[in-house]
Amino acid sequence: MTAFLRRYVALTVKEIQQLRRNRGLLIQLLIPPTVVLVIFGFALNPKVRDLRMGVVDQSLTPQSRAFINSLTENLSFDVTRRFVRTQDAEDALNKMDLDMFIVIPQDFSRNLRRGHPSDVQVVLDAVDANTANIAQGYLKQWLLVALTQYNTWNGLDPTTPTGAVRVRSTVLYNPGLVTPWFYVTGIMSILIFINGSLVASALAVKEKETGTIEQLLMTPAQTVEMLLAKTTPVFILLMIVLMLALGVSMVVFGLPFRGSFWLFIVSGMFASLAGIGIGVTLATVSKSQQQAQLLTFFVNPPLTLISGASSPLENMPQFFQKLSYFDPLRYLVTIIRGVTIKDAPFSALWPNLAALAAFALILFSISAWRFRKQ
Amino acid sequence: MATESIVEARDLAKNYGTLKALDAVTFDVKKGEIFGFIGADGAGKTTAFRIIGGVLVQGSGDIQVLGTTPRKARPGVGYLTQPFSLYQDLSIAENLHYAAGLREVGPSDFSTRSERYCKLFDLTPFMDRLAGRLSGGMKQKLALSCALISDPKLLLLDEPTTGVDPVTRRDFWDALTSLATEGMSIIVATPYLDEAERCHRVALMERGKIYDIDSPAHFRSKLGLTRLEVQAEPLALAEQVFAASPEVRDVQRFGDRLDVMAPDPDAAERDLRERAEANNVRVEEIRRSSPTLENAFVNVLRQMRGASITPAFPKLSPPLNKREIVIGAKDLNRRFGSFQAVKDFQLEIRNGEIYGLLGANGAGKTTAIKMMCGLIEPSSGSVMLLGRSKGLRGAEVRSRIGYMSQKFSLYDDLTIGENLDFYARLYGVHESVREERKQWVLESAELKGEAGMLTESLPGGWKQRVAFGAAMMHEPEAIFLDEPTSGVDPLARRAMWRMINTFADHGAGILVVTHYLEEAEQCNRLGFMVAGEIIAQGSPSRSKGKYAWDVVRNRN
Repeated sequence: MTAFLRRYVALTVKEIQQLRRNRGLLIQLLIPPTVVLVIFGFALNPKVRDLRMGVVDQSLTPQSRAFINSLTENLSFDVTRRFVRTQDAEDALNKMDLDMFIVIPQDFSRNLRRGHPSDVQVVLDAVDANTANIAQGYLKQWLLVALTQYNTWNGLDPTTPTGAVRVRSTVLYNPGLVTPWFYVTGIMSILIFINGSLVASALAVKEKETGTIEQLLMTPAQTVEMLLAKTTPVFILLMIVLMLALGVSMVVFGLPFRGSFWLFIVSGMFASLAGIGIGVTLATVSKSQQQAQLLTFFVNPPLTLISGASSPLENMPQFFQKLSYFDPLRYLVTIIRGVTIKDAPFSALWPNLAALAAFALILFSISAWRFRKQ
Repeated sequence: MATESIVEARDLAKNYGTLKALDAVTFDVKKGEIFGFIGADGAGKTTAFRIIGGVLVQGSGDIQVLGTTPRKARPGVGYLTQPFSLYQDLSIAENLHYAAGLREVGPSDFSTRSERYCKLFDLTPFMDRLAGRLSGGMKQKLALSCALISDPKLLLLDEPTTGVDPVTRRDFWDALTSLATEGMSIIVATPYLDEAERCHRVALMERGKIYDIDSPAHFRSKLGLTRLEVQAEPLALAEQVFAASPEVRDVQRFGDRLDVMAPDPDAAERDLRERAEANNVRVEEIRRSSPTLENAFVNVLRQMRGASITPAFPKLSPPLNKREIVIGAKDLNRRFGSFQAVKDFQLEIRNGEIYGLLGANGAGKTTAIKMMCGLIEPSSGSVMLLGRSKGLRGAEVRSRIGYMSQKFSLYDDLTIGENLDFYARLYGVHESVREERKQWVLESAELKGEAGMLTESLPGGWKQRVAFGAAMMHEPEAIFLDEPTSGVDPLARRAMWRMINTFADHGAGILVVTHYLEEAEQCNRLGFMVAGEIIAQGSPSRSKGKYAWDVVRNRN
């Protein structure tokens, strides 16, 4: 045991000394959490603001005016122009003077008074399909809210049409509709995982590339010791990165931390181990750092895309939702969102933690086995 | 020989930072001359080449190549750089075409020249083979053909035979000689003195300075010493006894004999015999021969550097008094698919023995050594290390083995001191001796006080010396050395061999893998490997060595 420790210390000291001089790798590890997180947090923010909306009010009743006012209370829409004829609104949309317009039908208030559903037509410029989609979602949501409000004010039956329940649940955990939180937590998880695999693969293949591995294999050092020594500094750095990412998210984006901190840390540890495992495994089939990095580029994007880190899992096709159970990143994302944005109880999160632990164990073991075999 | 000067250099100097790579160097090269730069790694040979080739501008001084500046003279100069300058994924024919295209060689010139050189270098049957799939020797021949395709007046060859086996080296030099006879001037850099013997004139270089320029024959006669080859028993004692003689300038151990340099051979022989008798040393034979260029170079280096003392290994453990098999192999075979890399390989190295395994590139030496170290599994047969045949990969066995690979033994991104600390800790060198042994490595590599230097910045030969020390700090009992002294200057090489001999005298069993006769001569026993088999074994006395190489040649 003492010989094991002595060699482990010797190997780790060497790795740290080498890492200290490897500025490129350190930058790769430490810059993303700050810069990338901030850039992506703002840039990928899908919240739509100040859309230029036109209104064709064919009803021209107090009810319709109240409804339009309630819409503009929202920052998302800016009623820039009003039209009498639908054709004029369409022309404006064509000229790109508008992003969208709504048509309130003549029988709007009559239908409402009778308790009948009322159709409000929405016309969107879908050149920017993404924005249009989001705007549509917002509008639907606000139309519902506005209608409900309107009904309540008028002493009518506030029964909400179908679909309202779902809308509400989204609003519940993200009351300000602050979508950066969704992205920031996703990116935080991706950073830990992808950086782990990238850096570990680079370090594990480096000695093979420079040729020093031959000399190292002839020393008393055993492969397990080498692997542990290679991954220890990466592991510690990843934990620092995780803390840094959390700090940046909380300071810049006001990300709350509502759940248990130790759950956050433990899941981060398992995730880095899983990432390191993938990196080392890829390194064992590569001959150079370049090759290893290219391989990680092949493996990481799918893992990221189906994890739910960048787009909600619920929006994915059934097949990919099922597939995501094989993605360790999915569990990390769930746990991190669970302890920051929500205060999810441990009872709800532990299956995720267990799955993550299992993945970490399996992936790291595979990497150890491959590393020894090569 | 015409006296027309092809290259004229006066007081050429070049600094890299504070390092003087070239320091006021003056030389000239005549038409049809083979001019050699001789020196260890880091002596300034490559810098000189890059200036002559017009790739680098000198710091100060004047240089004229083909009567103009090196840059303008480039079309008339063929330059073979140190790393392979070929495109590995092009065939031989494509590489030649490319080289010819770059230098605007006309189609008729191209076809006559490519035919001529391919015939000269035996490349014709392989024209469609990719350069990456050629052996080291063939690659160098192709690279040389590419440099020759433009019919240059001056050919620059920077260590052209590194990694090339002796047989191919000889062919290579035969070709160079015939080119020079036709009037081509050739400047060649080499760390191997047997090659330097074939130059018309050589410049001895050391730390950026040219010490002397003369023909090899003059260098030898200027020395004014005769070489006595002495076979005596016991050799270690004889070395000590003879070194004390006033008639003797220098004693060096060469495997099973001593080379004694003496100004007056008659007086020296008398004195040696007297001393041998007084000390119970049995002298079997004393032969006289002329000194080699290496003897001359060693003498020059001594004068330049002053006496250097090889530091003694600190706290050397008492010698092992046993004659057991330290490294052994029985019926070892290894196949890669249908290719038999090693065939019925037998080896027995006992305590105190230095065994040299010789062979060309691809003869199976590396595979054999890797099997004996436990890095790869043999297809059949058994390996013995330190009396064991099982658990060879275990830490216990490994901590008693010293291994020095040809290159890449040290981490470039660590300092020298960090490298030494790393290996010392890993091998469990006890703390009480760690610091002393570290200092020993630094002193024996003449790098005292340089522990904080990044290993990257060391020239190859110096790295070798540090790597050797790093592999010896834990006093291994079984030692594997892969071309331990390549790129090292003769004086340092002798110091290294003195240390290797010390370890052998203390009971270590040592296996040296090499394809240089200079290293092979230092071993007690030699094995010649061809196509995966040991085809001849014996002591390294010269005749036998030469005989074995002829066998190798015929088998090829």
